[in-house]
Amino acid sequence: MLNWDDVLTKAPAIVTRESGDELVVVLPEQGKFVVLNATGARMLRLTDGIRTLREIARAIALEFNADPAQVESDVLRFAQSLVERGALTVIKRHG
Amino acid sequence: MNLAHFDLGIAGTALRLDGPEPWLTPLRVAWASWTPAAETPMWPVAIAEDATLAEPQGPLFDARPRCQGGVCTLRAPGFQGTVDAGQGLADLRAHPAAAPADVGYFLRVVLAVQTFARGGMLFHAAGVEHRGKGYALFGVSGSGKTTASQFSAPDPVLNDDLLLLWPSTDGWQMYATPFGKRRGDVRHVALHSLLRLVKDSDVFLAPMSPGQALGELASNTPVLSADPLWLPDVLARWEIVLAAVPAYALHFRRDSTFWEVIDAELG
Repeated sequence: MLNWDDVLTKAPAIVTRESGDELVVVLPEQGKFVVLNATGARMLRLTDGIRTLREIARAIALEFNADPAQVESDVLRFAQSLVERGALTVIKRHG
Repeated sequence: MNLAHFDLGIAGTALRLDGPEPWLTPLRVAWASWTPAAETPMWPVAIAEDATLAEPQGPLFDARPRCQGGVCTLRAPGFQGTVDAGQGLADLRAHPAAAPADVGYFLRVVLAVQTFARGGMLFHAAGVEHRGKGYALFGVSGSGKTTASQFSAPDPVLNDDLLLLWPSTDGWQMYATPFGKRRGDVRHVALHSLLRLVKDSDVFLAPMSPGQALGELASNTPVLSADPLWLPDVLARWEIVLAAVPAYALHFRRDSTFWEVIDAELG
């Protein structure tokens, strides 16, 4: 399970393309794809190998004027799903 | 071993095949009507037997193409193939125990690369001509392309697994290929709709978001979608297609009622 202080980065092989309000993330090695809404796309862009998940959640809550507690929960769950799909990798794990 | 050669033409492509007679003759006989149009640029495809390779442990179909910067390689026990889009060349070395079907699969990879390099696309879809319009029923293996094709009788089926798409002056045309099952002899028809097959107990058409359609279509672009360097161009080309051709999710069951829905909503 991911931790708030974990630092993630985008998997090197993913290819992204904006399509309307969505971001299409293609995983060529797996032949799969993920479609992200505006919030998910922002989270992916903020996942830069430097920010922790906590910092990303705070940034998104501010930008989207959303409930921080809800955003934190969503970011952790969403990041976990992208790690499982191979779109993100953990580069620094807390503890 | 005797050598043979023949020219294979599929839509706007042309391959000049040279290789061992036992592998090429069955393909030449099966694809006798697939001849290239005059003046179509030829891609030479060299097939050679290589007894120094390990014995094949399965069909070449099981090998996943690895593409990098326009060069695709197929490596598996008993096989070493390369398709170079920049050079317009392809070659396959195969162990003597290889089968004509392995060569046939290699030609699909060549076709995918050549078509894309010239402005078209190989598409993992069944193509049906219905009331004079072309419907591409697409989805990964197991999504129901063959089943939907069977329930489309007596409409012509250009192919139940692989189509070629080419741009035309008034949109996109879908072309038959010889690689799967066909019904009738329609070779091409204007592409009217892209329909992502979804097995369901209810029959209906559902809109797809632009992103969902783009992701689905890219995932059903054989060979090229495995190359991170090619993928941006694949996505860009599908965006061009989607600007001209609508995409829907077609929920269908094992009968022909989905055509009633299509006629009512898209016909």
